[in-house]
Amino acid sequence: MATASEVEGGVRNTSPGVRSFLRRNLGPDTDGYLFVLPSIVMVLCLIVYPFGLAVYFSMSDAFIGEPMEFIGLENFVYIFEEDDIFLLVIRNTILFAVISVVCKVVLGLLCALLLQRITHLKRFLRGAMLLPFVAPTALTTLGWWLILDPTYSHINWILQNTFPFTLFEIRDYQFLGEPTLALGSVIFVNIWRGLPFFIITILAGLMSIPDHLYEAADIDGASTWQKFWKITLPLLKPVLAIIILFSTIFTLADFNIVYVLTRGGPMNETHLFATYSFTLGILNHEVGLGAAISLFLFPMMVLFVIFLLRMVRRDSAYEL
Amino acid sequence: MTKSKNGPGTELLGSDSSRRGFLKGTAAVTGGLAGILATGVAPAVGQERELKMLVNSHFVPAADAELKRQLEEFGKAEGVKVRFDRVAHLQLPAVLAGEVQGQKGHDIISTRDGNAHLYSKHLVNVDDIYEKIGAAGGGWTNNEFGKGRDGSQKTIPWYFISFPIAIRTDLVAEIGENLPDTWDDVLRIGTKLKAKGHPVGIQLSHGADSNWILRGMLWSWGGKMVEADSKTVAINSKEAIDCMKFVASLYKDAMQPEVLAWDDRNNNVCLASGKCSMILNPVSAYRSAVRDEALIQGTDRPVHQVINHIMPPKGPAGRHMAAAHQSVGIWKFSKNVDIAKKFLEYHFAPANAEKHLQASAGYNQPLLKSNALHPLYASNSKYYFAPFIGWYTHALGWPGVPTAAAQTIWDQYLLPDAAAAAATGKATPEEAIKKLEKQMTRIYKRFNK
Repeated sequence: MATASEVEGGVRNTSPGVRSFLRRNLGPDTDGYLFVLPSIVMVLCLIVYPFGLAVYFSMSDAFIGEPMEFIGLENFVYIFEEDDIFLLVIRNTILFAVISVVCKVVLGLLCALLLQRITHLKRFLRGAMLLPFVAPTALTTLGWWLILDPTYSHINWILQNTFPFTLFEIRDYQFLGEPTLALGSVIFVNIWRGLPFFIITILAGLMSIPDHLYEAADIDGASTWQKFWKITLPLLKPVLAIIILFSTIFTLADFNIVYVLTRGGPMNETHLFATYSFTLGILNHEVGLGAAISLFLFPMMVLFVIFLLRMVRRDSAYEL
Repeated sequence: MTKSKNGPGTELLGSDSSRRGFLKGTAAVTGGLAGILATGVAPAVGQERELKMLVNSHFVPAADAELKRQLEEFGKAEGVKVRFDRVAHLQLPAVLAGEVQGQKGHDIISTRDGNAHLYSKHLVNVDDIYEKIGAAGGGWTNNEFGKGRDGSQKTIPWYFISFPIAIRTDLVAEIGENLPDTWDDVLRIGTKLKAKGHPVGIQLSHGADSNWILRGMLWSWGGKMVEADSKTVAINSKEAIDCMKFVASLYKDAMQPEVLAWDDRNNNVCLASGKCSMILNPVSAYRSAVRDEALIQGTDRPVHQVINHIMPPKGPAGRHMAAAHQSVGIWKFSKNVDIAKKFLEYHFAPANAEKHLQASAGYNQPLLKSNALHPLYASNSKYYFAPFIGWYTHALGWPGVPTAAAQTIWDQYLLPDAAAAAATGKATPEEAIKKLEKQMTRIYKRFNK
């Protein structure tokens, strides 16, 4: 068993000068630093180094298998001035993220409020609700790919062969072939997949709101709407801000759904930053351009994260 | 509960000495792993010779089964471990790019068209076995294919995958037409059959078939993407614009918008299911119909009985079609170059090459002269086209040779995007071709340096 003097920090074998320097700068217990060291090394190797490399690639004419040269901001100028697909990518990504996140918030809130009121089969329903979220994305998206198949869409079959749709002579919809429908399809699948995360998290937030607030509101004669706007929503704001933050990050970086469903088509109309960056950087070998496109998202994300975190901090000071 | 000497929250960590033990152990494991990662050499106990081969999944699975059998048989005879990996054909460029970038991966890789030129610096010279295999197989039908930038042979030509018209002969007969011989015939017959619910199916999308067929169409109109010097971009021509105008008419009158979202599977399904009247495709669509015993809707008649293959159509400048040219190469970073070369000699030996060809049921069209008139092609009237389609078939980059730039343009699906834009009215044929020229010029400029 180590003695008290032995365990006093991780500095006992160091010289007095070094010991006092470490204590002054790191505190009395240096063991903690040793324990977090593997994590720091991993972050440096897996996040900082690739990020730095991506910055370097984005300012080079890197091409797979070829020597590269530093070209400054030429890639960024190219994607803005000459690459018209990139402008489509910006439009698609904004539409994809905004529509998806807004729908997930609204539907998530609605479903969570309904789930909260259910008394029978509660556990089963909550578990079942999570299925789209826990199943592997590539697998479930393949299922949607078959449902939305250009030639034999199940949805088209239902629309053309079942009552009452048969009354309207509905045409074949090209869910993955017509640009607007294709973008709508990938947004729909993203909402379908991400909704359970919102429902479960909002439900947890709803359950943490003390009942006595509603009881007090009832005594004051508040209506259901008033209780929702004055109690439920304000107290859910921090939870909503965090899930919106996470969901926006994941949605902006989404790759699987678009890659499996449309591979960015038709005519590049459904490319997002991640898929277009992969297409240019890996499939087309233009690593420099691919890196420039993927980095474009970074400053936008930083601003968005700062904005939301400030909002969360402000709301955490909310006084009852 | 005893209070920890190290402060609250540290009780779960146990004694100080075990913490230090944990840290030492972690450091040793981390250091060991770092050493292996830094040197790229596994400990001696983990080293065993393994020959790894990567191919794209064959459209006739029996061909892959035969190739795997040969690899295993070879491994047993040579006393080496073998590994046979497959990826979807559209994923292969990404996997090859990853292996080149990481300088790690398989020893033998399946390549195609301009890959030898594109990865010239990273592939082993195979001139020696190219000569030997060629001599044993009666010579090569195309001596330009598989060359690197220095003119040496970088890959061994394997087979080509041609694009005849696969057509429902019964539907054509029903409307009193003969089988189409020209692209105008395809448009006329296709328009009539679309009205009866049987459209033409040619992908205008990010699929391999789309890339090949549209090149064939362009050449049939007298257009070309590049001059015979393989360096000068030549896409912006009246012929190319006329071809795009025809693609737009064909899309509007004889096809359905689904072709914009198709991959290389969809046209097969469309024909075998009885919907499409004709597609341009290798024999795999027919083979699938045979395998699945698909019936003509509402009848007991198998659809494969009424599918036949005929020559690709003639355009104003004659009959031309592109084909996927498959080859095999060996990465320079491979530690098994000698054994890999030995396997290629083994696989291309006449007896084994014959078995592979048979297993592919005629899908693999040989690039060795001795197999060009293989009896297999006379065994079934559906294959009669096969020995002759090579006369009209060109490799990527024609009238030049398959270069890195031509391969990059293929990988980026620039021609299908231009055709889709012209077909859907998103751009005029002139605008689509002009944009394509700009995109191509940038890529050729890079490789012409």
